[in-house]
Amino acid sequence: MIIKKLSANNFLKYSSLTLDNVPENGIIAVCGDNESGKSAIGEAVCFALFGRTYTLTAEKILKSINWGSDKTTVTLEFKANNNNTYRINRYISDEGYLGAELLCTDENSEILSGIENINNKIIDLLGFDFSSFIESYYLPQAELNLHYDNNNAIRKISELEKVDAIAADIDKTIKESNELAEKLGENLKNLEYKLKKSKGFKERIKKLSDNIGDMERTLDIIDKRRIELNDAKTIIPKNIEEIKDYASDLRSHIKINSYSNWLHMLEFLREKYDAIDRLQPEQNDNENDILEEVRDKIHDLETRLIKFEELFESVSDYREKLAVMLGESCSSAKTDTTESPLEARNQLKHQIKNGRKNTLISMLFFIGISTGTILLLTLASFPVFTGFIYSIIGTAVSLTFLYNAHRLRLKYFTDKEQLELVELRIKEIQRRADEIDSLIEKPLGDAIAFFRNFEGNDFAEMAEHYLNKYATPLSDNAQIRNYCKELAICIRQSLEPINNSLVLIEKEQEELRHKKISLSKKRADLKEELEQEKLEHIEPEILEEEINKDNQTRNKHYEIIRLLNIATTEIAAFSAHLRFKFSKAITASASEILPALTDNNYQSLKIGHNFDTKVFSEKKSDFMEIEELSSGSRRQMAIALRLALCNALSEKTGAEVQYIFLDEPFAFFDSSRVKSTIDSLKNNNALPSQIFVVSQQFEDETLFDMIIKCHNSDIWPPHQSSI
Amino acid sequence: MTNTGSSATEEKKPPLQGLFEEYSTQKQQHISTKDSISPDNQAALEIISQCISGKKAIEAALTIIELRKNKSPANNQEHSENKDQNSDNGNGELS
Repeated sequence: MIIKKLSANNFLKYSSLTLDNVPENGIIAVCGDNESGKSAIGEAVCFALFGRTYTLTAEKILKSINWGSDKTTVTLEFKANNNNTYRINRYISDEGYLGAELLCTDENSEILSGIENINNKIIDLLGFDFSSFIESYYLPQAELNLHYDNNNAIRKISELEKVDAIAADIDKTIKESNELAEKLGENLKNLEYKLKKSKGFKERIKKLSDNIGDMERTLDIIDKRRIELNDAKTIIPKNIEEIKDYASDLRSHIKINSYSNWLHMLEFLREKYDAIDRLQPEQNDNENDILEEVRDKIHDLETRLIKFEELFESVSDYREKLAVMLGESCSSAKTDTTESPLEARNQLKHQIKNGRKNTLISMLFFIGISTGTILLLTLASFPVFTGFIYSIIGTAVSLTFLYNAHRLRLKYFTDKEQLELVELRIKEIQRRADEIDSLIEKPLGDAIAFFRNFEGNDFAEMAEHYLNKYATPLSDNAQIRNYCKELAICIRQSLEPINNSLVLIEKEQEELRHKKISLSKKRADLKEELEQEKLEHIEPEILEEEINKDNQTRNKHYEIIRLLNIATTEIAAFSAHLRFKFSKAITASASEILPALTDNNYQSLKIGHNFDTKVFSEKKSDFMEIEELSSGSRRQMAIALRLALCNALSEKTGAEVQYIFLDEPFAFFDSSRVKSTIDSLKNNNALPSQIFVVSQQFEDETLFDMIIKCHNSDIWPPHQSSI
Repeated sequence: MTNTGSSATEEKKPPLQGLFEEYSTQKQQHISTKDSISPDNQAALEIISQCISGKKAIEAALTIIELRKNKSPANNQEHSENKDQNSDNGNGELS
């Protein structure tokens, strides 16, 4: 960039400033007393380009407005690196309104406006921003800082800023890829877990369904049991009362005098105790023992009665035979009905009836024939012989009938006697049958006595065997009474634990209620789990595809990380290479002007990779740290470095000619060193071509291509001369 | 945006690109005296080069990975097989 023209209104101390015909190649001296506005020229250029000055930041730029004015305007005409001439007009009002316009004067182009657009365009045209500008093309009056390591402008000029930005981007990408790979890894774990779950889905569903089924069955059992227990609460007390009554009856021996009573009792007790057993909760051992004793007694009684029943069964065949004889039943195939006395009685009754009838008929025939014969012989007049014959025949026939009637009568009486005998036998049979029938209702002792005394059969023997083996203590009524008493006591004792079971029922009901609530909840949970499983189920193929996809993506990230890690090493090496190259270039460039600036006291600089600067002293024949130098020498080093940075930036931006503003660079220089420095600046083609040098005064004004003399006037130019 | 004239930087490639190319060439020359530069290092250099051109690191890495994938031996083999098949001499023998 080369300054062609500069004008300003109300800028800093100037109400009006105009610089024209500025030489593109040469050294321009700006001199004048303190507060004469020398530095303001450099600041005006800075404001025109970047909207701020070296000392006034964008926030404080309002202070650049000349005291008492409401607006400042700076117009700068400059030649850019592309050799086109541009005019930039920037202004600011005391109310803070900022404005700028940019125009390329060489081309018929439109005016560009808008602060942001213009700022970007300026950077684009110049190839540097404000920070680079003030570190290279603008040497402020203040003390220079030589520690460049973290200087942003230097990093920009050396391109390290970009390299660092790339390195940071790579680093950030590695971190992001790592995070993504980790996330994918977690996702993959999750997917693999889901896949495992998905593969076991059917089994799990079956297991869950089975569990739910089991629980439902258990709940059904619980419900049934709860109903039973509810029933038990009414049935058991009722049974207890009934058993109590029965036990009382037993003690008083009211209901146990017959086999049927025993059977009834057995059935009653079994029914009641079975119901209690089924309904009552589990008892403790002691209570169980008592109940067991009752059950044993019932069982014992049952065994005895079964044997007793055998006796009845053995009688039953006989009773059947009697029944057949009595015509009660003909079902038994073994029984011969012909032996039945009823047949004989019927036959005899029939015979008696027929005999009576036949006797009467025979008598009637006798009377008839006798009477007929007499009438015939009396009334008819037969010859004697014929009459005699007739009378003989008539008499014979009537006598035959008479004899027959007599014979039938005898037979009738015989049958009558036999019928009486048969009737007696039937009665005897009936008596026996009745006796057997009544056995079941007889006191057991009497029944046993019946068997004992039964005659004509094997019953007596069987009864004896039964009595010897089973009948005790049922063999007689006295023993039976004792047995009943014992049984009643045992039953009474058993009622106590049964009574206690009501408390247990309450307890079991409560437990079942809790168990049901708990199971219902578990079942609901399982059902929910089942539904959730079904909802969440994803087919293994889909999951495998997803896993495959995620694996590929993760591998891609791993590959990115791997390559970027290598790139990190490479970019670090490249950064080191750039530092080396840049410091080498700066060293070479600074060393070129350094002898002139230091009156050959120092020949060259050595700038390390971190821009730590050492200077070679001819006198000491060694490199010295900057801190070892005097402040004047340090400023000389700073100027040398600043010029070297100008070169570097110009090389970077491709600027063939370049402006630089050096504000009081020779403050500690003697006149000969100023001359040698100016000569060096003029003769060194590598250095900027348009050099503004500010000083209070220059002894030899012939050294300069243009001299701008500033006075304490707010209007410029009071005096401007070109050489 | 109104055009106010062309700039030199628009036509020239970024200076850093030139510096990097110089660095890469020097590195290649340095390594080639002993051994060839590894494919991974080459890929890393290409990534950096693309980053200098303005690409984001992730885009550059993905581009390079994709390129390497296409140039991978498996792909080359496939390509070669296709080529072999194409060069069947018609007698049922691969020439």
